[in-house]
Amino acid sequence: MTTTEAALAAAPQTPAQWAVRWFAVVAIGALFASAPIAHVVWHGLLGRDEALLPLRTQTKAPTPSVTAALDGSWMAQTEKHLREDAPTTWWLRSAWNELRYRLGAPRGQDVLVGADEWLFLDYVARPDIAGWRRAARGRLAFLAAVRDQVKAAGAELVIALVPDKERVHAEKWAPSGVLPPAKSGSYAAAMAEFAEVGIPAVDLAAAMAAARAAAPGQDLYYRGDTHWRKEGALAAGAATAAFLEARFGDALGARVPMALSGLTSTRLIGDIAANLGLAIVDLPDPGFALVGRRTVPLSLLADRLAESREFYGLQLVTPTGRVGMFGTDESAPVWLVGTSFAHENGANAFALQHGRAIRTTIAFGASGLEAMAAARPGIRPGMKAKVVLWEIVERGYFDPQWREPR
Amino acid sequence: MVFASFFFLFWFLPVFLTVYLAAPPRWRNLALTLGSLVFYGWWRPHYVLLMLLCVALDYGAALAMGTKDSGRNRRFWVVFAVVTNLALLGWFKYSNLLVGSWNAVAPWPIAWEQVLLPVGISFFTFQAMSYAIDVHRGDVPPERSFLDLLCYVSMFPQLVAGPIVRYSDVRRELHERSVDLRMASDGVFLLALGFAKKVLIADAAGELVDDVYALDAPGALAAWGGAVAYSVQLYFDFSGYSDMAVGLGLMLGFRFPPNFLSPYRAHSVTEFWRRWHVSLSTWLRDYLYVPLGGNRRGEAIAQRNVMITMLLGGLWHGASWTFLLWGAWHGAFLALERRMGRSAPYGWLPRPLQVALTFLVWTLSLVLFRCQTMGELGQMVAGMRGANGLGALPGLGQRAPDVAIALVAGLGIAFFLPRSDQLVARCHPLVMLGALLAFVVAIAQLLGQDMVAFLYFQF
Repeated sequence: MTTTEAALAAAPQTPAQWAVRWFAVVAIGALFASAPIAHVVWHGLLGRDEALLPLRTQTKAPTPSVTAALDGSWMAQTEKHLREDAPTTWWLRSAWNELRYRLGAPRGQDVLVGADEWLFLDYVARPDIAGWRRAARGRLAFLAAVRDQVKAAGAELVIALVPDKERVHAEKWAPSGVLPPAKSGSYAAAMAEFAEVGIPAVDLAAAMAAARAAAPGQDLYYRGDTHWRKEGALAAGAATAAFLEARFGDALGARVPMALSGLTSTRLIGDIAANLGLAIVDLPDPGFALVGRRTVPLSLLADRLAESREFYGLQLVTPTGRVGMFGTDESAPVWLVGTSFAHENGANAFALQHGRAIRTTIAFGASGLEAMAAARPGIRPGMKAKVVLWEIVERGYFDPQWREPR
Repeated sequence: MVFASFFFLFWFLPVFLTVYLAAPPRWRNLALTLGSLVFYGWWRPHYVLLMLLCVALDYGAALAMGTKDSGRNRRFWVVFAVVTNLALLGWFKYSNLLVGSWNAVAPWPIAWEQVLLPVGISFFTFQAMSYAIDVHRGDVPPERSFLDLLCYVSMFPQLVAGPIVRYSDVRRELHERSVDLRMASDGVFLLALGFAKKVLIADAAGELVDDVYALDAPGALAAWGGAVAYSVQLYFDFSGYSDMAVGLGLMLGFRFPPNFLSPYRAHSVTEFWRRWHVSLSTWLRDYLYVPLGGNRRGEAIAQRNVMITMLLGGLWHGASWTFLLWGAWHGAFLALERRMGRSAPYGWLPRPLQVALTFLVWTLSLVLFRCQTMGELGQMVAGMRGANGLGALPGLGQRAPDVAIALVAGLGIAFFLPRSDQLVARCHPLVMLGALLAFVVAIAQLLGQDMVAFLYFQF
C-alpha cells in the first residue's frame, strides 16, 4: 500500500460515505440472504413441496449418494435445483432480460428477434451442412431400414417434411428475405435424400409457399413459437391429403363426413418467447397439450409477446351421431407418426382434409425419431395401415440426432 | 465452487458468513477452515485429502526444522518440503504432458490414463512451499497449530486462483483479527467491482475470443480482434477474481496485497511484470530467481536466470508447450531490457507509444498463451499476418452489443481508470453506488444467461 493509499484508508469518512457503506452491507447482505431465507420459510416452515414460482427450468432436489457426491454430479444438480427454485433468480433474470429487450438488446438462449418482433431460433438458419453430409451413410441406412420394415408390414412409408418457420416467413427472419446459403438449400437436400432411398415425400415447403402467395397477409406460423398456426396446419394437411390421394387413391377407402369440435383457445407464451427469460410462470394444466402445463405472462412485455392458441378437435359424422376422433383407430388405412406439429392441429387438419379416420402416434421431438421409435414395435405384418405417414421437422432432420439415428 | 455462481453468492456466502461472524473469535479459524474445505470439496470431495496431505507435509517439515537456532538439519527438511510439493504438482499437472509428448515421438508408447488436474493445485502448493522456505530462512517461525496452517493454505477467498498470499502477510491476522463496517463495506465494494469485471467485461469479451479461436482460417481482422479481446478477457477475468478474493478477505478480517497494479499502463515489459499478477512475479523472484543467483553473479548469469524463471513461470500457468514458448517470449524481452538498462527497445518513443507497444508485445504473447496446440498457433499467426486475407469479425448476432461494450469499456478502464482498490479507498459515494449497481446487473446477467432450454423447445 502506498503512502497515499494508506492515507486514504485512514481518512475520516463523511456522512455520505458512511451511508453508502451501511447501504452496501445491508442491501447486498439482504439480497444474498433472500434465497436461503425464502427457501427455508417456504419449504421448511410452511412445508410446501412445490416451488414458490413454478418454472419449466426447475428440477427436483437430487437424492444424495456417495457416488454422486464423489463425482460432483450431486453438487451440480443441487446448485441447479436451488438456483431455479429461488424467486430471487426469477426476479433478477426477468427484470434484466425485459430491460434488455426494451433497450433493443435482447439476449435469450438461441433467440433471434426478427422483423415485427418475430422470434426465431438462432441456430436453425445455420445448419451444419458439411457435418450433416458426412453422416449421410448412417442416416440413409436407417431410412432404408424403416422403409423396409414398413414394406414388410404390407404398407408404404411416406415422409412429410415440415418446413422451418425461417423458410416460410423468411422476410421476418431478415429484411432481405434471403436465407444463408447453408439454409436455403437444406430443404431440397433433405428431399433429395428421401428420393435417393426411394421414400416418397410431401413437399410441404412448396405447399406453404403457395398458401402464402394465395393469402399474403395470413401468417402460417406463430410469431413467438416454432409451430404453425391452424392456417399452416390446414395448408400442410391439404397438401398431404392430396399427395396421398394421388398416390394411393381407392386403397385409402371411402371419404366420410367430418366436423370440427372441442375448440379450446388459450393465450400463452410461445416456446421461443419463453427462452427470452421474461416474467413468465408455468401453470400446471392437465388439460393442456402433452406437456400438462402452459406458460403464461406476468408482465406487460411478456403479455405483449403472448399469442392466442387454438386447438381443435375432430368428430366423425355418422348416421347415428357424432363420434370423437382420437387417433386410436387401428383399422385406419393411414397411420400418422407425428411430432409436436401433428399435435398442434396438424393431425386433425390432415384428417379433415383426408376425409377419413387416421391412426396417430405422436411424440415430441422435431427429428421425428422419438415418434418413430414409439411406433416401430407396432409396424409389423397384419397391421391395417396401408400408409405410414412420418412427419419430420426440417430443423430436426439436421439435428445431431440424425447423425446416428436409432 | 466458483465465485461467479448463484450457489456461491446466494447460499454458500450468506450461510458461511452467518456462522463465521456468529462464532467466537477463537473458533473463527475452525469455521473458516471448514467452510474452505466445503468450498474446495464441492468440486471433487476426495481432492480435499490431497490438500490435507500437502499441508501436513509442510507442517511436519517446518516443525522438524524448528527455529533458526535450533541446530537441526534444516536443509534436509526444506528440500523435503520443496521436493514433495513439486512432486505433487508435477504428477497432477505435468504428467499428462510429459507422457503425451513421449508417446507422440517414442516407438514404445506408455499406456496411460489421463490424470485429472485438481483445481487450484498450482496455488496451494506454491503457498505451502513458500511457507516451508520462509521457515527455513528464519523469516517466520514454524506454525504450531495445524489448524491455523491449514486455515492459511485452504482459505477459500484465494484458494483456487490466488493471489498467492505469503504466510508472513497473514500470520498476525491468523491469530487475531477483527472486522469493522469500513473493512466489511470495502470488501463488498471490491467483491462488487471484481464480479462486474468478470461477468460484464471478461465473459463478454470471451465470446468473441471463443468464436475467433474456433475458426479454421481466421482473417486478419478476426485474428487481431480475437487477440485484443483475449487481452481484455484475461486481464478482467484474473484481476476481477483477485478483487473478489481481496474483498472476501476483508469481510473475514484479512488484508491481502493487491495483485494487479494497472499492468496495461506499463511502458516496458519489465514494468509490466511489476504490475501483472504481482503475487506470482514476486514469488518467482524470491523463491526462484534469487536462489538461482539473481543478478549477483554477472550480467550473463542474470539473463540466464531471468530466462529460466520465465520459462518455469510459463509452465506454471499450464501444461502445454505453448506456455513454455510464452515464458520464453517474456524471458527474451526481459533479458533484452536488462541489456538496455531496464528500458524497452522502444524507450526513446513518447510514453503513450511505449505503453501501446508494451500492450502489443503482451497481446502477441497471449496468442501463445491462448492456443492449446502448435497447429492452432500456426493458424492464428497466419491469420494475424494476413495470410487468409482481411476477412471479417465473426458474426456475433445478439451478442454483438455486449461484446462491443465490453471491449470499449474494458480497454478504457484498463488504460485510463484507477484500480479497483484505489477506487474503494477513495470511496466516492456515487462511484460506490455505481459499483453496487454494476454488481446487481452482473448477477442478473449471469442468471439471465444461466437458463436451461425449456421442455417444449427441446423436442
